[in-house]
Formats: sequence, structure tokens, C-alpha cells
Amino acid sequence: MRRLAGAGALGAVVAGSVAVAALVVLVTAGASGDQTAGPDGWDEVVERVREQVRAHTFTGVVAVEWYDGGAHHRERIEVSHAGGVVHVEGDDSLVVSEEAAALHDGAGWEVLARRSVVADAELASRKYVVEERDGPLVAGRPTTVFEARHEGVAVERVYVDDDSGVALRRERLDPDGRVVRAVTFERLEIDVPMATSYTVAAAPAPEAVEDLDDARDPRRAGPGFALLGRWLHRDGTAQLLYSDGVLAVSVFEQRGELVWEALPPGEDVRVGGAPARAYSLPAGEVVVFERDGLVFTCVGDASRADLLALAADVSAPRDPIWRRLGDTVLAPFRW
Amino acid sequence: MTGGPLPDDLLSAYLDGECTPAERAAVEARLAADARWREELEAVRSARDALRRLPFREPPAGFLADLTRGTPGAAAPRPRRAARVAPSRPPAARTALAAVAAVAATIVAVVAAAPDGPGPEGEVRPAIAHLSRTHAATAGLEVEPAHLVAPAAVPAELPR
Repeated sequence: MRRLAGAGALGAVVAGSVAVAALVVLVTAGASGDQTAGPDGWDEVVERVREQVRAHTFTGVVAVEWYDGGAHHRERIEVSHAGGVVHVEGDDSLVVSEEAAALHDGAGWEVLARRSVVADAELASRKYVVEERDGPLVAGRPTTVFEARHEGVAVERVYVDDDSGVALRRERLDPDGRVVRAVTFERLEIDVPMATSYTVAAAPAPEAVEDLDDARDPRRAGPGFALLGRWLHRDGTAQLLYSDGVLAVSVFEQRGELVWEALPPGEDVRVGGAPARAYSLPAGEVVVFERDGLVFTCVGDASRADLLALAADVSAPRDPIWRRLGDTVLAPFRW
Repeated sequence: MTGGPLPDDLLSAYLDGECTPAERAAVEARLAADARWREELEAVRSARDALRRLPFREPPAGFLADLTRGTPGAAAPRPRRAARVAPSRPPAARTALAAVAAVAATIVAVVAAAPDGPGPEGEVRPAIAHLSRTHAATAGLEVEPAHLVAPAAVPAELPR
């Protein structure tokens, strides 16, 4: 396997005028207006969001909500966007350009993520059907709701401002239809001229790589998730990003022995027969475990069950080399 | 332009987020009322976007240290300085000045030596909260920018 040359330390200056962007979501409406199905429906939703992200400047207050067991958590943060640069101001500052995301946590800047070439754009959007209907007022604005459904069950909803096309709310639902995670604009000002700049210098950054030595990185895992990218962090941690077209999960792999005593209390679960510990955090569900000398930390907005299934697939031992070679040689003759 | 010229460097300071609230309000009022100021602002923004698309380059030896030393606000989340008032220059010169400022503020990636080996071995204490924020930032970049990334700014509090 090959590791890309370079990377390690990164000094970055992330700059941008901030006014903000709107997330315009346009999905072809069905004749009835309340149900639109298409094999690439959610892909189209996301793609148009990305295309329109520069259409407006905006600033506002966003509420981030999540449930940890029965406990409800809520944090309010300021979000603004212009020219492709998102600025999020909570307890910490986050600046996101089209190429990188940098966090200042009070001690200094760190580049949390760098954009990678999407390795497999053929996501499992066919897994989902998109429905459209009139939505409620969000931040005082009328909305249209786009809902991703899998086997008749709503998984995710996006509420889009009828006037501007800005996505005002995004919510994740459990199989019983309860909202378990949501990000909502409580206040929003659109196309208000504003500008600022951000300086991020000498910050460490992960490196996007094509392959990772000594890591488990199957191209497919869990219920319809595909590998989108691989990164190598400065401390040697490997990161894999999987998505099923709607939901996203990162798998972090570190070689060594997991120190269970160092883990915070959580829910004890199992992954592929191995003991694991699970948590619910603002960014999603988390599961930590060790398998064959690798410590896995899986994070994402997939359901706990899907996360565990994906974790089991990714961490499963690879087939022996002779079997993989045999499969490659024999593949053309299997029809 | 209506209402007479703004102080020469005020627009640059505005773009750099360095205005006082009163200056900021004055600039925003002018931008709302005057198309030429908006055009100038857009020109600077375009220059910045073009620069952002530049590829990463290997820096010369010592560049990183110089960059860090030469960036007074490098460790501060929102560096600010007072807007300067200078003699008036024509709009083209102002635009050029702003473009230069954009050069200074646009993404500059400095690539240093790659780490050796597959990573640390031995005991592993995963930084769960930090990894979860890293995931939110990654998903925001790769999947959908504004909403997914928001949780990355919320520190995760784990039980002890």
C-alpha cells in the first residue's frame, strides 16, 4: 500500500468574508405535491444545497439538540456564511472553507478536517425515497419539508425556507419517528452585508490519503454505507468516512491496546463479539472498542444499530491474501 | 457613489472584520445604498476565491516560522485591529490593496515532513470528544456544509 507524500504540519490561513449562504434545496415536485420518489432524490437535494450555498449571505443563531438516553441537550451557537466560508461561534470558534475546517478551542487553532476527493460517489441513495410536503414555520418563515425514508420509515428531514431556499432545520429521527438530533435556525438574517476574516496559522492537519498502511478500510460496510475518503492524522490515527447517501460515519483507527479505565462511563455494547462502549454526543452516536490490536472509535449520525453493524464490518479481519487473489483471478469467470 | 467617499482603508478593515461596531454599521449602510461599493466588495471577494483555488506548495525552509512570527493574531480566534484612516486613493488602487490583503488572508497550507511509521503503539486512550468533533467537521466538508458542521463547535461533555 502507498501513503501519499507530504503532510504533517499545516499552517493555514482560512479567510473569508462572512455574510452567508443559503442552503437551497430544490427537489422536483411530484404531481401531488406531497410525495416525490426518485432513485437519486436525496443526492439531488444535497447537490443543490451545495450548488446554492453561495447564493446568499446569512447570519443567525442555530440550536443544536440531541438526546443522550432520556436526557435532552441543547446548545445555541452563532452561524454565518459568505463566499463559501462558514463561521460557527459557540464555546469554541469553527471556521470552515471549502477546503478545510479549523477549530479554535481557546488554546490554539487546529485543522480538524481537510477535504478529500470523494472516492466513491455512487452512494446508496437508492436506499432512500424522498418525500416533499408543506412544513411548519421555522424561524418565522414558511418551509417545505424534504424527508428521506427507508423502507417506509422516515430517517432524516430538511426544512427549507420557501422564500430563500435556505435550509432552516435538519433533524434525525429514530425508527419510532422521534427526533433524536436536530440543528435549527432560531434566528436568521439573509443577504445582510457583513465581512470578517480568520487567521489560522501553524495548525496541525490531517492528510488525505489514497491508502492506509495497516488499517481496515473496506469499500462497503454496514447497511449500504460506502467509503468516501481516508485521512491520516498527525498522531498516526487513521480516519475513514462512510456514507449511505444521507447519513455519515467516521471510523478512527489507532494501533495499540485500549485503556478501558480511561474511557468515560457509557453504555456497554458489543461489536462483532467484542466488548464496546457507546455514547451519544452532539456530533452523533459513538462506539469505542478494540479488535485484533486496533482501537476503533466510530462516530456518526447513523442509528446505534447501524453504527454497530458498520463497526463490525470495518473491524472484521480481512480475508487471507490467497483468498483475495483467488477472488480477483476467478471473478471474470463468475457469471 | 453616494454620500461621499468612505475613509480609504475602512473597506479593507471591514473585509478584515476589524471595524468598530459604529464603523461596521456605517460601511454596511453604504453597501446597502451604493452599488459601486458592493461591486468593489465583490471584486475583492473574487480575488480571494481565485486565490483559494491555488494549489498547496512546499514552503522554503523557515517559512513556517516566519509566517507564525509575522502573524500577530495567529493564535487568536478573531484578530482585530483598529481601522486605519489614510489619504484617499482611487478605487482601482483600493481594490488592488484589498486583493493584496486577500492574499494575506487566503488559505495558505504549509506542508511539512510526513510522520514516520503507522502511528503510536501501546496504550490507546481515544479522545472521544475530539474525535466526534473531527467527524462533524469532516462530514460538513464532504457531505453538506452548513448544518452538519455546526455540532463541531459544541464541546462534548462526557460523564466522568
